Amino acid sequence: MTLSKIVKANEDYDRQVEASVERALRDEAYRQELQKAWREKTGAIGSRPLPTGIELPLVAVPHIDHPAQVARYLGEWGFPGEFPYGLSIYPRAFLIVDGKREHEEPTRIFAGLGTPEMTNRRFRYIVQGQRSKRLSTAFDTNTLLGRGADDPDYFCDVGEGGVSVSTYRDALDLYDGFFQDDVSVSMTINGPSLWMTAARLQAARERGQDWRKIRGTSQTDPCKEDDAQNELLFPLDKSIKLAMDMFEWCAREAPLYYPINVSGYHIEQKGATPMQQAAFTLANGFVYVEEALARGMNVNDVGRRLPFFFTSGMDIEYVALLSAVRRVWAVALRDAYGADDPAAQKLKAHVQTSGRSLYEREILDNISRTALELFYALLNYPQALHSNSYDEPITTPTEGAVRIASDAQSILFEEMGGFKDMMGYLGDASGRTRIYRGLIDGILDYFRQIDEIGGVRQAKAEGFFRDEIARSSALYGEQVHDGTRAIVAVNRYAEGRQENKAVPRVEIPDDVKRKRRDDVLRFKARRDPGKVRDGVRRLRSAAEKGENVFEATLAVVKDVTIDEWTRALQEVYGVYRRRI
Amino acid sequence: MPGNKIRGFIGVKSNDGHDAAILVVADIMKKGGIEVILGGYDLTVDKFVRAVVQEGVHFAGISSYNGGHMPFFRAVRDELRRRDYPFLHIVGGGGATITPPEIEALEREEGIDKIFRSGEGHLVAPFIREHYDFPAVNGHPEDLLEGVLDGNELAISQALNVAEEKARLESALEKIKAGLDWPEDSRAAREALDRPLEKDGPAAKEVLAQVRRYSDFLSKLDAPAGESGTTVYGIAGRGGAGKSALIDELVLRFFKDARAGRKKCAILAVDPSSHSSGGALLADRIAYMYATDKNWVDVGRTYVRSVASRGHGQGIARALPDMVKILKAAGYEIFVETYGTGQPDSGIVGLVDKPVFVATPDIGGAAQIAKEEMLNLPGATVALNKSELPGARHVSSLLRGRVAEERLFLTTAIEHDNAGVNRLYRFLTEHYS
Repeated sequence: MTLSKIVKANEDYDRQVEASVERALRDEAYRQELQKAWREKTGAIGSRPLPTGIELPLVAVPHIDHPAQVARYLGEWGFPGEFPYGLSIYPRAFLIVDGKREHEEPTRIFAGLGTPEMTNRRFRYIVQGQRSKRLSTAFDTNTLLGRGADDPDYFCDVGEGGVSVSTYRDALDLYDGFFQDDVSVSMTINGPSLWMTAARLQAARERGQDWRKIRGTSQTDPCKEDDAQNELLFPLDKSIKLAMDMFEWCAREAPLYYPINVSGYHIEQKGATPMQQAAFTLANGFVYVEEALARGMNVNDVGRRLPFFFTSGMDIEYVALLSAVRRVWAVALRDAYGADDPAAQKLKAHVQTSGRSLYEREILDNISRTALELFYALLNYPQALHSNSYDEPITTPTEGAVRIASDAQSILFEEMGGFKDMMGYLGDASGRTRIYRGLIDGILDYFRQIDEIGGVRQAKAEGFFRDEIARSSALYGEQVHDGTRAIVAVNRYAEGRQENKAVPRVEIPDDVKRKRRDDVLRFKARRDPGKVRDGVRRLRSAAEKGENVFEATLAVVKDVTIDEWTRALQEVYGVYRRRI
Repeated sequence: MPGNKIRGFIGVKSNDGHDAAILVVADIMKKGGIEVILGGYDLTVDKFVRAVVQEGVHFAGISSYNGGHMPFFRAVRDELRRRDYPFLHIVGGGGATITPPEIEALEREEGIDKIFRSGEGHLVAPFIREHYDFPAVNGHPEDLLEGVLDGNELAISQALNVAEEKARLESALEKIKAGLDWPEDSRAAREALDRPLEKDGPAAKEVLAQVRRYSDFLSKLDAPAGESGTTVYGIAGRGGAGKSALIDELVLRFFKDARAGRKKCAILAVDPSSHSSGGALLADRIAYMYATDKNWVDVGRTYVRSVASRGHGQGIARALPDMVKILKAAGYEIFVETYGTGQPDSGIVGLVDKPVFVATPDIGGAAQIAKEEMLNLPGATVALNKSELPGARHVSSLLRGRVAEERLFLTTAIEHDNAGVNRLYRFLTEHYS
């Protein structure tokens, strides 16, 4: 699959913008048309009184008069909520505007540790007093790799760094009290995500929820696993097939659920530059678009069901990274794929501050780093946002640190006026404009390189993404070492800094792990062995015949545990062959 | 004596996929003159310890980032002790998730030699050269004989070390005879260089005596005349042709094959040594995913050993004939993987029963194919791997001009249950029954 038509669509779009600017300089009728449109747009903006006494417009509009400037602004950025969505996919700021709730706050805090019951308590703690209930689930590594908590080889990892989920019963316990239509649940899981999603859907139905009203996402991005994270259970092409099975099913039966989250975060954490993150993640996104279209899905249906996930880090590119990918996507979907529904052209994104930018030395400095990264992120108006806890370089976040991280978001929304009251208040600032343009050009350049290798799948097979990321990672390390990249308290003002020894660590005691193991063993022992056998057979048969494996998973998930599901499919598909 | 060649095994703990640090460290070790076996990531305690024992290394390195490292370090240590592994040397690293108090506890109380922190990469090779500069053979080789014949992994591992040592000393002896210095392997070697080396001087005599001791031991493992024993398969071809994946798939089939019965299976994987540093990065083991995983094969009946070429040409190592002999004596079917430099890996031809050349569609035109020595051997078996790639049809018709139809297999090793690999397996093992 090549990216040439996406490159061409974006090049053509740029030419159209230039032509429109040119025309605004020469063509009087067009000039008047633009001026009229501009007056209408800007005249319709309401305002709001602030506590300081001033009256603030709800949308920041540049102070421009000349129609050529208007043409450039509308073409390059678009009015907030308008094509090509450089500024925002929505016309109004976050939170409540004019006493009316327009959007939810984007806060989404990642949590998970130990047992499903422990994590359920943490969820309840996090949503206290929040207007919207948005959960984000971190799973332990056993779960992420499709292993049960009863596997003796991996006992020491049970519940470490995330919640352990092995059985259908666990899914019921994990989200107990959250099977409601106003709760959105995000699950950071890839390899076994069909099993996990099926378990959540069946649990929700058992608690009386209608699948058509279920909200949330699962990550299920096998492409970036191959690039960066190494947590695939099956070969890449089979993993993509499985993801698309779930994608296709959800579009039909659970329309509010987003089964795939195209993720740049892990690519960046592995060492990619912001530009590489933007280019590779978009390229991966187009893989899913093409796969879905090949299954006969409607492009409008596909486009609006593929949300993205990016980093916001300390590098200046993050001031406009999301804006740039949004524009490349919008132009591609509209002009290369013919998606006429704006919902499909609007790239929705979750943003997380960068874990890699945090350091162990002078660990509280990480609070400042995270706050500033949040600021960069918000300038791009993302749809959901996670802020890292300052103690993440050394441990799974402790409760106090999670609270500080969550507060940082509330402070930015509630105490600072910009994001709450005014849409796009630094939208087309000149620095942002320069970086935005540079990113767009850089992304297209990477696309051309990928095509030279033979397209996205071929570039992956030849290790292009991995090699590029590794190269950047090594360079980053060198730059920290030689000081070209300044890190305060690490290679700047580093003298006399103390090692931080006082941070409390989250540890899962052995008796909790044993309890988990015993719970899973008990669940397995109480099942009807005939049902388990039939379930495994059904899965294998669906995989062998090329049927929709997600449907089969839904049918068997109450009986077949996560490890049995994994093994059954590995018998048919084989394992993911690691690369170095 | 020439100094010691230090070998190490490094890997990332179970459920941890953070392999960036370990790749950097492996490169540092290689450049520091160390032969390092890369174990990859997500290693269980059993997988890790089994690898250390089979590879017979001087030290083991554990990398951990995800957490849960304390019990892992302890479990590896205890398990190596339980198996009486003679070189109980463990180092570790992985970044800030191993906290300063934990580092102190590991180094002072838990018997871990050293934890390297982030930013301490430059200390790794000097530390290893300083502390692990000891002979790879522990005790008297004669004591290993019974263990090898019984299939005891520890004895086999030590015997394989004897074979590698013998080959290394033979090379050294040749260098002395040729009037050259012996290779500067380590501190001991550097000290030795201060002494005048004479062709028949005391140092040369000492080396010769050691070579004889080792040879005597190894000759006891010669197969009795007339006994054919187990089968040795040789898998040759250029780097990146997919040799490791192909061997892994063949081993998986071996363990599913009722005809193979209780047969055991070993892999000898040769990778090149660095000319400049004398070190080596031995990375084939990672690709043996099925062959090292107890969920897929009986790991009690598999043995994987990584071998550095140490300057020997033709895709193999000088010690390889002895290593094959040891594993045959221990009752293993053996797969030998050459290191494939683009030159013909013809070194294995005399060494194995069934040589297989792995080609790929980008092998080149008719002239390139004419140059590949292994394609021109009578009775060569050829796997055209990656046969799903463009160009495969063209290359396969070129190959048909040189290789008998029944000996040419179009394979896609990375595809599970690939029909071409199935056919190749049946062909190679048609003598099982």
